[in-house]
Amino acid sequence: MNLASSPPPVDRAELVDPLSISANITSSTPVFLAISSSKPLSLHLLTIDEAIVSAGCSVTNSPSDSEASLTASARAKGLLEQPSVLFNQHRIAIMVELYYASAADFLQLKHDLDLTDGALATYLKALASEGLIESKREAVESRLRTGYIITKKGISALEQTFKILCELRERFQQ
Amino acid sequence: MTKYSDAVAFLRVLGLADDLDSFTGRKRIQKTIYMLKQFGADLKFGYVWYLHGPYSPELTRTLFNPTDVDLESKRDLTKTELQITNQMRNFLAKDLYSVDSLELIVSLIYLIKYGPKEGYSTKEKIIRYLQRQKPQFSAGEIETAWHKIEGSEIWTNFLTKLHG
Repeated sequence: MNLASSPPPVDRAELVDPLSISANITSSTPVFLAISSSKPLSLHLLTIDEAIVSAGCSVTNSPSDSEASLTASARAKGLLEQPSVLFNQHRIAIMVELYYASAADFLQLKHDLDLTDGALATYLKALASEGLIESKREAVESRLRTGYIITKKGISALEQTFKILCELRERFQQ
Repeated sequence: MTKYSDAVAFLRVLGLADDLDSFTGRKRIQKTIYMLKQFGADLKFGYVWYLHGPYSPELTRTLFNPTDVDLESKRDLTKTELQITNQMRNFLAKDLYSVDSLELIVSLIYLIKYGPKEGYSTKEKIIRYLQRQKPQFSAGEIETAWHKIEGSEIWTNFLTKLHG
């Protein structure tokens, strides 16, 4: 599930299925490690994992088989309650970037996600229409820039989605 | 008191507390909190390098999605915290009001501190890496920011560890 069609450079990486994220990455793993070496690394993999962990992935108990399946189905249903607009690799990548940086401008997002103006505008419009992000047109260093911020609803939705995915992953691993 | 009220107390003194919902305000707040921590403010927000510089997702979560308890808690800065704020303000001077300059200075500081552990052990390597990440900054702008950082004793230990 590559974010970009061309091989990703060191700092623009593939977005992987959150459920397949390596379990040996912890919340204390510095993302810097991922981008500073010459090895091909996937920054978004690390940061999404960090987002998942920081969103409260802490399933430590081991329920019985029947309990686990019930919990898993409840969790899966919980996903249905999240904004469907989130379930797209580009839109979730936008959300993760805004979650980390608090704000980003159009050009930065376009560069980071390797999207055309039209595609990015469509994704941003979809997220804004659900109230997950807000667009802002402001003067920065005497130039007008269009920026985007993540909203309270966006922060909660992203964290809740990752939390559910994380808990499902834990169930699959048990 | 909460992490939210701690951060807002500093931002209020700096005149940035009304910028929580502006795009430029948020960018500036991310960098300003980082700088305050450098000067000794006890603000417990962890920062990681994300694409273009150090950011704190925890700051996003805390400051831009506050709980009711957060919103009700309010405090003023202590005398020591006011001194820290003034020291930071004096160091940054007009750069405090330039999002781009702040971004450059904060990124350089992060790389000076943590770059050597990742193989960026000289000034040249750090600058080369930064130029790849932030091509919008000229060599002259980066050099100016570097000199500014060198002019403070706060990062002397890290700077002397750089080779060359």
